Amino acid sequence: MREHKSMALTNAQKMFIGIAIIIVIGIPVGGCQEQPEKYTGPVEKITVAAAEYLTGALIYVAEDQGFFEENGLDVTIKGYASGKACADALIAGEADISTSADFVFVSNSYDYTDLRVLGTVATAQVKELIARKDKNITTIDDLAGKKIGVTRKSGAKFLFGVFLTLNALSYEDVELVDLRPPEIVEAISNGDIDAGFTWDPYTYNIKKELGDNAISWFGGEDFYFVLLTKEDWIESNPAAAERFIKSVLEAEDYIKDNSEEAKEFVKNRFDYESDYIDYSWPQQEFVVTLEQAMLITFEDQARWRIKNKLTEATEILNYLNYIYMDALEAVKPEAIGIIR
Amino acid sequence: MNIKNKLYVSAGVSIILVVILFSLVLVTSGRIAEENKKHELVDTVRWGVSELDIVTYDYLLHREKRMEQQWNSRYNSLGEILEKATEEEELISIRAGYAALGDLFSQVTANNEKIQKLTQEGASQEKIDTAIGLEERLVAQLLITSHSVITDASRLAEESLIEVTEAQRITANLTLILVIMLAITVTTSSLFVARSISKPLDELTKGTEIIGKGDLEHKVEVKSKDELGQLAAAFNNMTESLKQTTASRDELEEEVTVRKQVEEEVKKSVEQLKQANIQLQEMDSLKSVFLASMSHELRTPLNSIIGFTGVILMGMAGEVNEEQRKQLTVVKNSASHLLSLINDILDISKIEADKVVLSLEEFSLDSVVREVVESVSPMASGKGLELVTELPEGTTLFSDRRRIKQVLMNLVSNAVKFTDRGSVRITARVSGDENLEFRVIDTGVGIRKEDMYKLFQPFQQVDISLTKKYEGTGLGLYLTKKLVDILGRDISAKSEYGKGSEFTFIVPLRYEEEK
Repeated sequence: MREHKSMALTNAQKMFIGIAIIIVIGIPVGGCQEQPEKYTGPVEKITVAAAEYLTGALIYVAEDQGFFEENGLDVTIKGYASGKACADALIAGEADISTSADFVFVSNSYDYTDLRVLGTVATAQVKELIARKDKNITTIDDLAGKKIGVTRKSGAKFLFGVFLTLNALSYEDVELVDLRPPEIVEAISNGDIDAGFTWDPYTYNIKKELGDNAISWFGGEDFYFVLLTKEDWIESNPAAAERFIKSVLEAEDYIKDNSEEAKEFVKNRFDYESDYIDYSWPQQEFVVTLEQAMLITFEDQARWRIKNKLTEATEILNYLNYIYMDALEAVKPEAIGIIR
Repeated sequence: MNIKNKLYVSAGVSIILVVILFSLVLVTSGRIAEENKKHELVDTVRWGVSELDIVTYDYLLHREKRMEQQWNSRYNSLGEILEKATEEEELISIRAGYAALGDLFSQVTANNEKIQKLTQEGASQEKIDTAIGLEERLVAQLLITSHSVITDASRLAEESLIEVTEAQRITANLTLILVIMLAITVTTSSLFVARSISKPLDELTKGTEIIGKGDLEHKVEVKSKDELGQLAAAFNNMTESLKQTTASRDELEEEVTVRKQVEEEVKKSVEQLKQANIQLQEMDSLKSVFLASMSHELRTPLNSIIGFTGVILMGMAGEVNEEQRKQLTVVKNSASHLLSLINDILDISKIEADKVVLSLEEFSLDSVVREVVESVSPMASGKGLELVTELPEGTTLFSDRRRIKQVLMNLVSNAVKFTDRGSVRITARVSGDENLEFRVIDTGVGIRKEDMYKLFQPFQQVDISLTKKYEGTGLGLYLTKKLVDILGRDISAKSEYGKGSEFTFIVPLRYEEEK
């Protein structure tokens, strides 16, 4: 009888075993992370006109990592050499979405009121003023009276104006030479101009050509590289737009977590030199956001356009109405900084 | 208390402390969550008003529809938050400020429209200046109210943050105290239980070592009433049993030693006996040889004595008077007796010296028995005894005829000698297919039971009183047995004192050398 008692489990022992099992099983279960739901609905086709250079990296990374496919999107990427060309493709109906600089969007906003901003794909300070030291330029004040190359009707022209204003100068204090970016590189290298205000990668090429003879200043404000689409496409494809934003956000996370691999991929994808990617990569921030500052930047550029008679309009557009927040709101609301 | 219960108590106390800790954490985390919620609310309000402030400045700078739209949107969303909030007291000033902000911004936008309208309509400067003056007041009020609300919200946020921090600090302290208590309890109870286990275990280990070295007098001193106390008691009992077993074993070992010694001595004695036996056999053999030689040497002169005494008695050497005849007859009988004695000794000596040579032949049973009967007939007739023979007809034997006859003669002549009246019966029958069984039955004096053992011993006569009456060498039956041992299978006797005896011996019908 005594032996039988020692063999059988008492209630207290059962309780201890029960607690132990709950603890052992509970810890790993509690530690498990919820897996994101995989998309299983119909696949939708999207054509993206994407800048075929560093600022368009998120689109190419998303494609390379299969994020579009995972989110039920059959994305065709059409590569263009500039954000303007991308916007033109969108406006011409050759693409559903484009990647373009803020200035390109604002330039088109008066003529194409159906344009909509989905979010950014990069923000950066990539516009620089680079001058030759041998032209006696060592301070910003030395720019007065110098020949400076800048591209007319470009964001660079606007930002150069901001740059001059912030440094107590104006367009009239310098001799502006209208040149396309590659021409600026050539002209400054030859000494035909004393300085140039342009953007990456031309700034890199100029510095490479001038070497120690170069002196530079970053220009003015942040620049926003945005995802543009059209109102009618959004209205017909709100779910696809949401999944597109989700894919690009996944690419953003991938770049954050695998910076070196992403950098290597971009270098190979665009056939960049190692020195160039090392120079330019840290200046970019590949983020999908909708910031209040971006909204103010749009208005600022619009005012500049009106002031410089680049548009017939006299009133600033309500850019709040050009921003489509629902897609980003659905996937990552905390990425929206626009006051509402 | 036994160990199991001690462990249960220890675990129980720990569980109670953990439950208290858990409950405390639940209560305080509830409070922290509540404070956090409040903090989040006022922080959201502060942030919302700050954003309104930003848009206000934006509006005052550019006065565009986008700013109005944003301002109203943000104001409404902030209103929804405040509406849902339940913290009435803390939010009184904020709610008041919020209401004032909405009112003031509406007035500013309305006044702005008025100024634009007056400007467009070309109204008097005085009217426009009045409107601008109002705007300046309204804007100042708007900014003051806005900053006041931000300050209030910041203060509230700061206070709620302090509350949260305080709650966290209290929770952390209480948790720390409880964890320390838990650690102390677990450590103390573990040490207590461990000590109550390890000390008796040490005692048991020491005891095991001491007892292992052979000190069975050692006792394990464990006084506790738990399982280890029981184990120690059982251990002591076991030691006691072991001690007793060891004592028995020692006795046994001692006995074994003694037995071994005895065995050794027995072995020695057996060896000595063997040696003595060999010596005896050698001496016996020498004796037989000696006796044979002596008998031979004695028989020759005895035969001369008997022969010549006979010749004298026959009167061939001259007339013999009665007295001479009488004395010569004594001489002749004595010599014959001596010769008979010597012949027996000679036969025995040969047998004992293993020098008997058998003369095997085929012969008739009947002839042998008849010769014996004829030899003893005169003596039997003289005593008036009846001699009866019962033999199977036509039986032949293959054996030593002379020795068979000698055996039979010894037995029959003994029977006649010790029987004074009645009869002597000689019977023979075939036993099985191989043997022949002889019986010599008399109605003589018989033998006492206590004398039966002497029957086949040398130089023994069963009854001393009869020795003088019945003359004999005392070697007859001894020799007979020896001969049956060689020729036959067995000889036995049974007798009833005063009534007679019966001797039986068995010989094979055909003697076989191998035997």
